[in-house]
Amino acid sequence: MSTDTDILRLDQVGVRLRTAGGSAQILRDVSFSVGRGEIVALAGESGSGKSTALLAVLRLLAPGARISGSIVVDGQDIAPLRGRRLRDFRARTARMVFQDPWRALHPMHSIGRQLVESARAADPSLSRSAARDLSGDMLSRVGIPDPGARLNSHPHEVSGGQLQRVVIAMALVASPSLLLCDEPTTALDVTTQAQILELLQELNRDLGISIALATHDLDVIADIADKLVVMYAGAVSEEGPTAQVMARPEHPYTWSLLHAAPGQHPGERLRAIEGRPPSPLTVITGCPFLPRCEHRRGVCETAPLTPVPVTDQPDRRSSCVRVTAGTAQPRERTSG
Amino acid sequence: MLTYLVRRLALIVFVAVGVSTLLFVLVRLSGDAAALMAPADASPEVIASTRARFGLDQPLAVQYLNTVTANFTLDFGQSFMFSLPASQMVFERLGPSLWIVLPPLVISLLGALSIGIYASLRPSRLSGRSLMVVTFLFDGVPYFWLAMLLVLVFSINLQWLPATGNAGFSALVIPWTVLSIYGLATLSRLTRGQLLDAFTEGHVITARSKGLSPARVLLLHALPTALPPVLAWLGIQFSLMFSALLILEPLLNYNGLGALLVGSVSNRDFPVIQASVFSLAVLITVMNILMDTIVRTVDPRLRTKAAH
Repeated sequence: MSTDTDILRLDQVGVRLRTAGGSAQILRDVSFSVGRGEIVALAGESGSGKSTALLAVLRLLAPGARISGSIVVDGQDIAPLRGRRLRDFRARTARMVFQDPWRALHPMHSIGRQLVESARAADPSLSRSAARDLSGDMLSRVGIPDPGARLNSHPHEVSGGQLQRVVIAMALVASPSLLLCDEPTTALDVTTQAQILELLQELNRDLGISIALATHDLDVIADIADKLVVMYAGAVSEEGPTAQVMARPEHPYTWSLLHAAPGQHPGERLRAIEGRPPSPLTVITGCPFLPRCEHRRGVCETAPLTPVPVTDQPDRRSSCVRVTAGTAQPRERTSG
Repeated sequence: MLTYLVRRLALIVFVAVGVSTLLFVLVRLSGDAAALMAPADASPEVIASTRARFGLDQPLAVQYLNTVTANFTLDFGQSFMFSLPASQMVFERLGPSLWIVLPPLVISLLGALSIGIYASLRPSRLSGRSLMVVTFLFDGVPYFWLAMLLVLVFSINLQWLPATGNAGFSALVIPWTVLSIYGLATLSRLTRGQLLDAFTEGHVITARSKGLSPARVLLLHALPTALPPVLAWLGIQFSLMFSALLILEPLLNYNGLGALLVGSVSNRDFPVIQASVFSLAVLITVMNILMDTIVRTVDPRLRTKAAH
């Protein structure tokens, strides 16, 4: 794992948040990387920590959140960034696309004003009119018809799918090297979802922009992500090339997640995952998925949290001790 | 925007008719004005002639119609106590009352913005919290008690300020202070709360994610969404301050609308009561419409909704 080939690398990242209920461990020893030009998907249920991981990259977590471990973006450790340098990093290097485009845009400012602001945050030498031209170009690049008129629109006058394109354009005017997408299609209807994903894939291909994409919907990423990082209870449970992970999950949680997704096994019964993830307020020993796992054994209670390489598959990692110990794989088991 | 303004103006008319009606009923319910105005030992003939002179002998329906239509031309009749048109008496007192209310309104808005912004940027720090404790105390202190305390300390003990009267600027210091604190308490807590909410809003997080400076995030992104409820409350605060004048003006012997209204209630000077309350109601409605219009101008979402 060379730093030069990775645009983003998280190493043993932990996020601790003080809440009314006590200290919450939102992320536990999370490590993964996004190579240059790659699309990496973070998958997991709500509360699995995937959004937190993305927000941590931009250091946009709630005040009082403690980040441990190291986050390196484009060769730069972001931990010591403060003030002006942190803002420049956010403005130029990594940009965020949020879940709900209606909430992500300023309701009182025109789309043009918000795009110009975004472009000039990244490049202050840009004149207002140059930034406006760039914004118009970028709107047409993301497939907005009549971009000149759209610049004068306000967010509430634009449909959800179009608005998410606007949000993406707002990130692109900064020509960032990394795009962080936090459930970019969840708030949209199904047909629009596909279009947005296509757009992301196209931008990745044509502009070479690297993308980290959080989602709870495996259908969403099956076709576009190069790599899949499955998260559970704030920790990475499995990681590997998307096609391989989806064809042969090496962690019982991934298996359950795949069988809970409607598109993955047509004709089969959907299987809900029994139980709930552990609260971030509790101290977890052993495998966090243990209480919900159909294949638990004694060794699971002392299993390490971090995934280790899977035997004979160097690209893949899993935190399931049964898999890494070379025992029967979960997909071969049927539930009793 | 035009339909909006027309609708708002219709609201003023509606409020004016409502207030006239309410006043008419309340005033008639409070007793026989003619009997009260006439001397204690007056003969029935004298009372009857008084009644006729003020039109109080006509059927109630006629009196009501006359009152409402006259109110719209700002004709409230002659004061029972003074031989002056009631409206003239009210307008003479309106200026001093606005002069006592408007500066504190501006001071409390500016103060609330400063305190609210400061406290919202340091929600868990001691300085931010102690500011909120202070405003909480202000919120709990009755304004009339504060006025009496200030008079006791600064007028009676220290003799720095006049205790009462309309004697120039120094007489205004105490009422201005009292009303500013009165307005500041609620407004600054509201501003802080609205801002803390705004900081967690998606578009404000987006603004930070774009790498904008803290000042830009605060002034252009967080504050505009935090401000509408604050401005709406400012309109309400205006009416609260005016109602405080009913106590403060007699207390400080200040010749404003509040003192006039209280005086005419105890004198049963119906035309003056009607003229004062009517003007106050219209004034407060106009103030609230003004605040609404400002909010609407700032927020394009509301403008489009109105068009539908």
